[in-house]
Parts: sequence; C-alpha cells; structure tokens
Amino acid sequence: MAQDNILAVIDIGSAETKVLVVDLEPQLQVIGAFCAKTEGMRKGEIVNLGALKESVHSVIGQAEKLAGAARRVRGACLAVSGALVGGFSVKGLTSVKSGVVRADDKEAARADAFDACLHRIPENRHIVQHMLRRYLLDRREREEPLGLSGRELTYDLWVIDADDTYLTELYQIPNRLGMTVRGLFPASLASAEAVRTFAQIMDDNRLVIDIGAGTSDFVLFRDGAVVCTGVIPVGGEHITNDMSRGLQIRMEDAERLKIKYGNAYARDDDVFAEIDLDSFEGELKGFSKHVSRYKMELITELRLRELFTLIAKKINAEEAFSGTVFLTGGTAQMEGIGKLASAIFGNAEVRIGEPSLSFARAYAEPKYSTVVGLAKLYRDALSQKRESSGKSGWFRRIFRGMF
Amino acid sequence: MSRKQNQSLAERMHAKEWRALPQDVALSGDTKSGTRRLFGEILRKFSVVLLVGGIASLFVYVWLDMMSGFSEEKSGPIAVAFESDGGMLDETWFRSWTEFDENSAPNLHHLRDRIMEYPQVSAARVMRLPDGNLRVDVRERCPVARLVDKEGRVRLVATDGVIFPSETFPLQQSMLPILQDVRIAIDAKTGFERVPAMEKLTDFIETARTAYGKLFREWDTISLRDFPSDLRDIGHSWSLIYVIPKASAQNPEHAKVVEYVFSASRFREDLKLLAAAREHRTWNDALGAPNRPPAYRVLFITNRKNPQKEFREIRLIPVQAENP
Amino acid sequence: MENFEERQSATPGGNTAPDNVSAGTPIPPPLRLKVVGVGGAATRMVSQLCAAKTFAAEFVAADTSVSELVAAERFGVRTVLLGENITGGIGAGTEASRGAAAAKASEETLRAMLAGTDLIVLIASLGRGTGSGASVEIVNLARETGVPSVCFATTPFSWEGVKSTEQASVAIDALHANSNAFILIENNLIAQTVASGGSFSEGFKVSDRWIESGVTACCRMLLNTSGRMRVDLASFKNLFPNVGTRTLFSVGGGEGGNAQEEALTELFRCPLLKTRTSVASDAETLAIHIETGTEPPLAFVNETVQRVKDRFGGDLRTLSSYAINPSLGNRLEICVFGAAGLRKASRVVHPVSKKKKPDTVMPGGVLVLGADDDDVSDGNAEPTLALDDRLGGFAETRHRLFEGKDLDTPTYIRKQINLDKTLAKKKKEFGGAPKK
Repeated sequence: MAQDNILAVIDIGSAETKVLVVDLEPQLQVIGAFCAKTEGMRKGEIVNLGALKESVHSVIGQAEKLAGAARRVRGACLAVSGALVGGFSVKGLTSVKSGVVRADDKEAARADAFDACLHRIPENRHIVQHMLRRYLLDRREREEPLGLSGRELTYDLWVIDADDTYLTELYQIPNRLGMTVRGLFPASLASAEAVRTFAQIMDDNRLVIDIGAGTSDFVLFRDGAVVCTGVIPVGGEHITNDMSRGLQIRMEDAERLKIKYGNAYARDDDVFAEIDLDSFEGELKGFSKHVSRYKMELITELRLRELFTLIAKKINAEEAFSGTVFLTGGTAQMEGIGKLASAIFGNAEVRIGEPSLSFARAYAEPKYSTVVGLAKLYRDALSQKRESSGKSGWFRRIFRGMF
Repeated sequence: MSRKQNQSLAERMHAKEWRALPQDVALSGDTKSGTRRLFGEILRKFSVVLLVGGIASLFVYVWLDMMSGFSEEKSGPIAVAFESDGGMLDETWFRSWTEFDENSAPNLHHLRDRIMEYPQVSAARVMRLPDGNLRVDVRERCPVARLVDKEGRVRLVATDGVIFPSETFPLQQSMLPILQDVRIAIDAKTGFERVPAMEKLTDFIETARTAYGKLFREWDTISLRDFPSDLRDIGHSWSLIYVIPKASAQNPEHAKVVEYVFSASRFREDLKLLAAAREHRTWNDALGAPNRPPAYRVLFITNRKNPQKEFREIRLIPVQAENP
Repeated sequence: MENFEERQSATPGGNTAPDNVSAGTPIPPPLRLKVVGVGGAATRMVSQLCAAKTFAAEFVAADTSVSELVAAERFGVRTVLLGENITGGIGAGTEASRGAAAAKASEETLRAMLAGTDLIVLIASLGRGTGSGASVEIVNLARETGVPSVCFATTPFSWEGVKSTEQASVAIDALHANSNAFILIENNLIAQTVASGGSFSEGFKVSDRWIESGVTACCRMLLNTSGRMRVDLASFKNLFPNVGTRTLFSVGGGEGGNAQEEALTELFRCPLLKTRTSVASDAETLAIHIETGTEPPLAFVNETVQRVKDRFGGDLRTLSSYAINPSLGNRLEICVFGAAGLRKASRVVHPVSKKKKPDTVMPGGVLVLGADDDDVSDGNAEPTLALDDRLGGFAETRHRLFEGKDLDTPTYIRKQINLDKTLAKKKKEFGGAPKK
C-alpha cells in the first residue's frame, strides 16, 4: 500500500514534542513536520498519560495536516529516554574448536552472549536494542577475529533495555490514534546519528551528549562503533528549577533568565552584577527583583559540572575516553558549556553540533537532533532488513518448500 | 550449538525485544485529535456504506418495479392507454389476448411477453404511468399478401415474412395478393411461421403496387414455386415469381394472359417492360388478333444474341387452354 | 486510671486546674500526649526535651540499642527496647530491615505503649537501621490503633552514603503515607540557613532547634493553659484528618525591637518549607502558635496571624494559640503547622491505578506505598506563587534516586553550598564597593 511508505517519526521530549512525517520510498524525505509543547512528561518519564496523549496527538494531527490533507499515517517510530531506560554489557564466551576462528565460533559466542543477556535482563524489562561492541580473542581486542588463531573468543554485547510499564504507556500514545509502532530506538543513538555527519569524520572516538529539557542522553563511540550508551535524568529543567529555588524567583522567570543570561561558568569578573527582573513581567511583593548574576551562574555551573561528572564516571567505567565531545540539544546552546565540558572530559575537544542530514536541511536546529536521527536510523534499519531477507530469503523459501 | 537450540534462543531473544510487547492499535476517542480522527473515519466509512447502499437499493428498486407492480400505489381499476402504430390492434384485442385483469397488479414483463406472442405485433412496450395506469405501445406488422389454406382460412403475410392471423384485420384484404406454393419456415427466434426471403417479394409487391398500380390491381395470386428460400439465390436465373392475374371480365375479346413470369432479381425491368408493352398497340393487336390462341403466358427473357448488347425482352407464349 | 489530683502533683509545671471549675461540672480528662523518639539521635533529642520540662507529656525512647536507652532513662524518659531477641540489644546497625523486624518483634510492648494515647509525636532519625526501619513500623501501628501521629524525621547528609540516602528515602515515603502530619527535616538544608556558622555541631544545633521548636509548639498548643487561645485536640485532629497529607511546617523567631518582622521573615524563609513532602503555600488548614515573653498588644496577635495567613493560606480553617513564656524575655517565636490537599479525595494511599504500579516491596521487607501522585497540587501550572515549590516542576514525578543521588534537589543544596555566603565571600575578595 502506498500508505505503508509514510511514517510519523515522533520524539516526545519533556519540553517539546517534535513530529516528522517522512516518506520512506524511494528515498528518505520529510513531507511534514510540527513541534509543540509537551504536557505530562518530565525528566523523560510520563507523569500524566492523558495530558501527554492529548498534546502528542494534536502535534501528530498538525504534522499530518502539513504533510498533505488526505494522508493518514498508520506507522510511527518512537524514541525512548529517561531514567527507565538503561544499558548494560554482557559477554559471551566460547572456546575456539579448531584453533582458528571460524564463522560458527563467532555464532557460538554470539549465542552465548544472547543467553547471558536473557539471564541478566530483569523480568519487567524488554530489550530496545543490542549491538556488538567488540570481539576479544584471548582477551585481546580484535576487530575481525575470523581466520585468526586463538583459544577463547569473547563476544562483547551492549544491551539497551527499558521498563515494561514505560514502554506500554509509550505505545499507547500512537496506538490510540490508530498507528502501529514500527520502530523504537534509544534517543541517545538517534541524536548521535543526526550529528554524525556534522563531524565529517566517521571512524573516531566520539562522545555525543544530547542535553535536553528533562534528560541527557549520551553515546560513546570508539573507532566509529558504539561502546556505551546511557541516560542521566538531568536536563535543562533542572537548571531552571535550581535557579528558581536558589534565586527565589518563579519558574518562568528562571527559564527566561537561563535562556537570556545563562552561562555555564560562574565568572569572576564583576561579581556585583545584578540582573533586573523588572524586564520580565510579574512582580511579587517581598521577593527579589534583582538577582545576582554570580549566584545564577554558580548554580548553573554546579549543576552542569555534576552532570558532566556523572557522565564521565559512567563512561570511564567502560572505557577510557579520549576523543571529541559533541554536545547537542537545547541546553547545549548555553554559553560556556563547551569550555566546562572540555574541562571535565580531560581537555577534550568539544563541539556544539546540530543535525546535518541531507533530507532534513530545514530542521537543522539542535532540538530536532533526536527526531531527525530517528528517521535516519529507521530507514537504515529498513534497508538492512530488506537486503538481508532479499538475498537469502528467497533461497530459504525454496529450500523450505523442498522439505 | 544445534540449530534447534539456536532457534529457541532466537525465539527467546525475540520474545524479550520491544516488539514483543503487545500493541493495541485502535483508534479511540481518548483525546481531542483522536476523537476528531475517529469521527472522520466513522464518517468516511458511513458515507461509503451509504453510497454503496444507495446504489444497491436503487437497483433493487428498479428491479422490483419492473418485476411487480406496486399495488399500494393505485387503488381501484387500472386503466389502459393502448396505442398501436399500425392502427389495427386495439384495446379490446389487448384485453382479450392478455386476459388483462384491471384489478390486480400487472406484471409488466409478463404482459409484454404475452403481447409479443401475437405475430401481428412486431414490437411492444408496456409502461406504468405515475398515476398507476398502464400504457401499452405496440408496433404492428404490415401485411403485403394473403395465405389461404386448405380449409379456407385466411392468414396474412407481413413485410418481414411473418404470417399472422387476419382476424384483427379489416376485410379490405382483397387488395392483397394471395401467395401460393409457399414454403413456410419456423422462425427460430420468435417461433412464428414465416415466409423465407420475404423481403425481396415485398419489394416486388410494393414496387408493383405503388409504381404500376394498374397492373397490380389485376393480380390475383403469386406463386412462389420457383422462388428461392434463401436470399442469396435470388440472383439465379431460375428464381422466378409467377403472377396469375385475376379472371378479368374487362375485355372478353382479348385473349387472356394466364401467367406472368417475372425474374426475382430483375423484376423492375420486367415490370417496366410490361407496363410499356401494355400501352403499346402491338400488345393489344397481339392479344386481339383473330385465330389467336385463347391463353398466353408472358415471359421475360434476356436476349443475348448480341453479346455486347444484352437486353430484356417480353415474349408472349401461347398456352394450351386448360380444361374449364 | 489515675485521678486528676494525683496527676497534677506528679507532673511539675504542668496543668493548673482552672479556678472556675465547680464541683458539679465534669473535669475533662487531661490530654495524653506521647513524644516518642526512634533511633539514636532521636532518643537523645527526646531526652533533651524531657529535661527541658517545657510541657507535660510522656516521653518515650524506643531503640534497639540498650546503651542509648540507658542514657535516655537518666533523663526520666520511659524506654522501650525493641527486638532484644533479634538484635541482642546492640542495635540494628545500618539495615532498615533489621530495625523493622525488631519493631515487629516488640509489637506487644509497642501496642501497650500506644494504648491510652491521644496523640503521638514521633521523632525519627532516618538513615540507619532503627530509625528507618522501626519508625515505619511504629507509625503503622499507630495508624492501626487509631492514634493520630505527628512525625518529625531527619534525613542523613548526602555524604553519609548512598545506602543511607536510599533507606531514608524509602522510609520517608512510608512514614509520610501513614502519619497525619509529616515534617521532614533534611540535614542538607541546614547549610542553607543564614544562621549556621562554620562548625559542624552548630549545624546540628539548628536542626535540633527546629525539631525542638516544632515538638514544643505542637504540644504547647494542645496543652496550653497559660495563654489566651488554645487549640484543643479535636480541632487539631481536624487539621490533619487524613494520613499522607502534605504538611507545612515552619518556625521563626526574632527578638528586640523588630522582633515581629524578624520572626516573620525567618518564618517565611525557613528551608523546611521546601522539602519534598512539604507544602509551602496554599495550606488549607493552619495552626499558628505564638510565644512571647511579655503580654503582647492586642493588635499584634491579629496582625501576625493575618500575615501568616496571607502567606500560607489557611482558607479552610485556621487555629491560633498563643502562650506567654516568661523565660523568652523579649524574644518572639512563631511556629506554624499546616496541611494541604485536603479538599481532594481522601488521601488514603493506594497505588496509582493508571500506571498499574503495584506496592513494591523493597528489600528488607519494608512496604512502600506509592505516594498518591494524582493528588499533587498543580505545581508548575500555577501562574503565580509557584515560588517556593519544594521541588518546582518535579513535584509530579515519582521520586527516584539515580544511583543513590537525589538529582531532583538542586545541586547546590546537596553539596551544602550556601549561595549567599559564597557570593559574599566573592564580593569581599573583589573589594567592598560595587563596580558598574
């Protein structure tokens, strides 16, 4: 059906929901997009499913309208993020039978890794994605062990899983609009995909951090392959909240302050500087109308420092990191954040990235990273599936007919 | 690992993937957009159903209408407006032939079929008028000749060869010539008796009647013993039309012509010749000459003496007088 | 049942019989309040309160460690040893499960203690075994037996470790869900108060003072006979009719000429308003207790109450009481209790059915009943006065610890950084005059 080629790619963020309506054939193409505020989601978790459904449905409706009047999209692709998404690694082990690694040795190691994964994953969680990190032959890392001699082959698998309840609730959102969820990807991988070509270097060590409103998703690449992913449930909202409490101002004022004057470093020059809130509306008796700029920056610096430190801790547990850091997402636009990140990640080079994929040139803003990357990931997965089933599929089908 | 183990592992992995979680895809009206969409879907489906249903019911209505009358519509006896373009058949015939019951709902198809069973009717149309009455339009066959069988019953032959009873016809049938030696065929389609290849004969009769009326009035019988039953054989030289004139008391001194033999294909020339010859003095002289034989046969033959110039000529051949 | 006269003489500085009671009118039974401390730090506090003798109530210390109890007894506190068979009287260590088991084992004793009580004020120091585990059991027991409870709980500092924080978090949820009024004293907040100096023990003094003021105020409100206005138990119970409500609690004090302003400022700025389980404004019911050294002018009380009401709400019901405590001198102390969220359906805790979250049984057998998320006041939808939201926008989310860290509380609080002091320090560095 022609309808099957149209997909709604949905990124439900804690602040905004972005929907792209894409045409998958013959080439990935964006035919409609819309972006609006999200109700009912904070820190990447669903707090009010009804309100969330309401807002996401209206965004999808608008995007469809912009895509073309009569089209009703029946498939959706989602991104998962938040504290309920986790990642862990398992290793599968097999002894190399003939002393030289063959394809079935690799298969055996892979199967063992899957087995370990199934044992390790809790009852109430399901796998979102799994990927090979690396092969180890006799404890030494090998990119392609086929044909090499050794005794023990290890298959290092990285698994990303998510809580069942969270997934079921998430599915409900497109389902209730008559859409099937056809693809699901972690938001970290999606954002990384979107900024990949921005780097223009594919095979290198990269850390991509997407700092959104409610969560910060990160992926660590080594030589172009995924080593580690994760989500820290801290985002721009936390900075705003900290400011609101620390400076005794309203959340809206804190948000505007952050956007206008936010700085990741508490600067020593002119500590007496104060920002006048009268320029923002609203005044309440007895509460501060002037806020110290130093205090504000200090709050931000503390929070961001903590965030980066947490990320650094998580990745250092897996790999020692040296390479480039890419920051994307709304909060990454803050002044000075690059310097701060660089300081915490061992003076690595830090770049602020935007999605730069060819089919979504109109959506080169950082807030669209996840949704653009999501579309690309889905398309790639689709063509991969076609390739693999196309070649061997028919062969298998004939054989099956014979037996 | 064996294939089976691999399979079960693959199955287990699949069961643990996000796809394994059940999705209940159903358009429900939880949200504003959802209700709007649901409403749109329902409306769409409903309108499709309505459309299909409408068309279907239209067909059914028409079919029903044709099959049966609507007794609810007309209360009281149904009047019939009968029209026939030939002018011979009328409502009385219609009522008696179809045994029409004006108080019951007529089945228009049956009525039409019954009317068509009468060979004098070449086409018929039965309609139901808005006020509940019936209208019957009938096209009749036009007779050009008569057939008299052994019992003396007279039947008429129409221009397309169909034979039909003469009851509805007025008695001025004497204008029509009688046909003899007719091979009667049964029309496969209508079941009527018909005279084969009648078209040519009709042509002949009508030409004679209209263009050569004086001659036509003398004719009594037309014999078709050498008239082909297949139109394709009309061109043969042996396809002939024998015309026997009436025993005319007009000119007793003249010898009688007992038979004209026309060519089935070239009768126009023959008629022209005859007409011309009759005007000519020589004809009357030949017929009125003393010591003339009492009966002649008129033949039309092609003179082929001069191959370049063939012409048709008329011959008077004397005939042995028959016994009275 | 002791008769009235005897009781009078037994409790020093306690209730004085009203003069105008004639022999015929029935004498109302005295209020039976119990102040119970669970866990090491709490027992010490109870001992202090007992020693201060500011009001007449029964003081109980419950612990698994004999040594603590012995120390407490010296102050005249009734002691209850929990789970001697389980812990052997040496303490429950750091495991909340052991504390809970110990409490369960001594259920009979606890029931006996709870019997005949009109109100129980529970003080619990969370983080380690007894405090986190046993206190939950006791509160459950109180709820079962129908005794209303006011619970003060202290939480460990962030540097005390992940496990402490986690256990405390679990215990907070459980206690909040089962007590009528729950006041959370986060030790992390101590650094935020202006009054704290550099020394460690001074910091503790602050939190002790909070608890002391709170407990004292609560009890004096109910037992008050020396002042003009008084809150009786029934009214107080009406303030906190259901379990699991969000509680507003604040203390403030001032002295000298500007005592009222000072006290009110401190009251409004008290960090206890901003804890996870408290509410900072729009409390539906309020109870205000004012203590002064000398007789205040008439308008004073009215004005104070009005300003507190302006700030904190109290639309449904406000009770006020004030007492004269000569020992205060020219000092003024105000203490406010309040509850919010009563208008909504009874907050008997049940898991949010929409999300299908079952009652999770945390390791250690402590049952955590999820907070009733439905009820949460529309935190960030408030156009005005969302100012002192305890958690700002995160009120609605389930409280989750990320690897032992509570990431929702601002970083500067968790790191004990006092913003004002840091700013002042920086300003001093760069000279006193503002540069423009």
